Amino acid sequence: MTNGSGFDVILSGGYTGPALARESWRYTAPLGRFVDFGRKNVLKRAILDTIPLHQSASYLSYDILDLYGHKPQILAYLLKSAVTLFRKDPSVLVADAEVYNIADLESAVCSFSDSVLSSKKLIAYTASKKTLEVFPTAPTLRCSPDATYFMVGCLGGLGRSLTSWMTENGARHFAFLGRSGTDQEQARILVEGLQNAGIHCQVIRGDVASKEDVERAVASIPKEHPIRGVVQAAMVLRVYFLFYLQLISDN
Amino acid sequence: MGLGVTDLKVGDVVVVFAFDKFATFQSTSADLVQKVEKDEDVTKLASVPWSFAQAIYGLETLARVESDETVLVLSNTGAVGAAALKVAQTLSAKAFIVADSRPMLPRLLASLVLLASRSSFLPSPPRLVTTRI
Repeated sequence: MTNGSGFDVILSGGYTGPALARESWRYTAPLGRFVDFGRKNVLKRAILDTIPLHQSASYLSYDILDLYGHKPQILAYLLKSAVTLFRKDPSVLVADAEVYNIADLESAVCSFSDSVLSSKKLIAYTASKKTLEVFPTAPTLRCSPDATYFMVGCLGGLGRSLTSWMTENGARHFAFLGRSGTDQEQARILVEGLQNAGIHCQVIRGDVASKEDVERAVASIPKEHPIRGVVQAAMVLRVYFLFYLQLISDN
Repeated sequence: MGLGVTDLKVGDVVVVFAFDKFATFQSTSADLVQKVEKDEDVTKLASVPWSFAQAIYGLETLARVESDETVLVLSNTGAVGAAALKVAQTLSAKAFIVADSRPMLPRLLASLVLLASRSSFLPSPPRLVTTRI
């Protein structure tokens, strides 16, 4: 068929079987080009046997979404070329498209096939009596700028990421309850950073395991900025050998 | 519509590239819009860009296919593979396609039409069943 010299150009896709792709790559002619389109799974698609490279073959991969993201001008040219090609010769379309209403999205997706013979699926945004089930957008956190958020512990790394997330979402007042207050350098840096950003921080020294300490802390929250949320992140980490654990729990 | 877009007007029927998630309203660059003329079938035209843009980019832009070169389209390449056969032909290349199985051959020939001059089988592995179109 190619007189044993292999194919000049081979087109492969993200759903082409890896065995076929690998073997075909080996059939690439000297100075041939192996073109691979679609999403790549870097873990799966190790087709790059080096033998064809010794005969100046090239492996070229692309994804249309990357063109859209990084080289839209090329995509603009391709769109124009595609439409022009079709206008010159409408018979280039081998199968009629199947049109699905947006309400039948699910069956459209299910009917999708990688076969070269498959027809194109189109989604029509026209009125329909059916309804389309959609996942609601995940709720986003909105913190009140007038409320105090009562943070138990939270003066370490976890507190840093929590407080920055909460301030991004509107929080302006924090009260931290911790046994060592801002004695730890990391805690001090965290509180100073928040204060420099205009966030009001109150640090109360106390133990969350003591009812008295907690009541005192809650009583110290200003009335005009009542507590609207509590984050319990107090914990003590100690590393022990397993056989000591029984002793610790006994104590 | 953005200022400076002169060749389109509100109400035009168009085909565009806009990769959104089924949103009812989508925005994209005017460069990625092609107008559908009054006498044209929007359903047909809408099925062109996705597959043909990829086929043209792969064969013309990247591979720079020359006339009389052999082009092999592997299986499971979907509509892009079908478009690539046509693009290869417009570039005057010799196009081949891998069929998944012997029973698929008649359907391939019937659907992809054309000058079915020969079909042949390469030895395994894997069994490459190719049809010249």
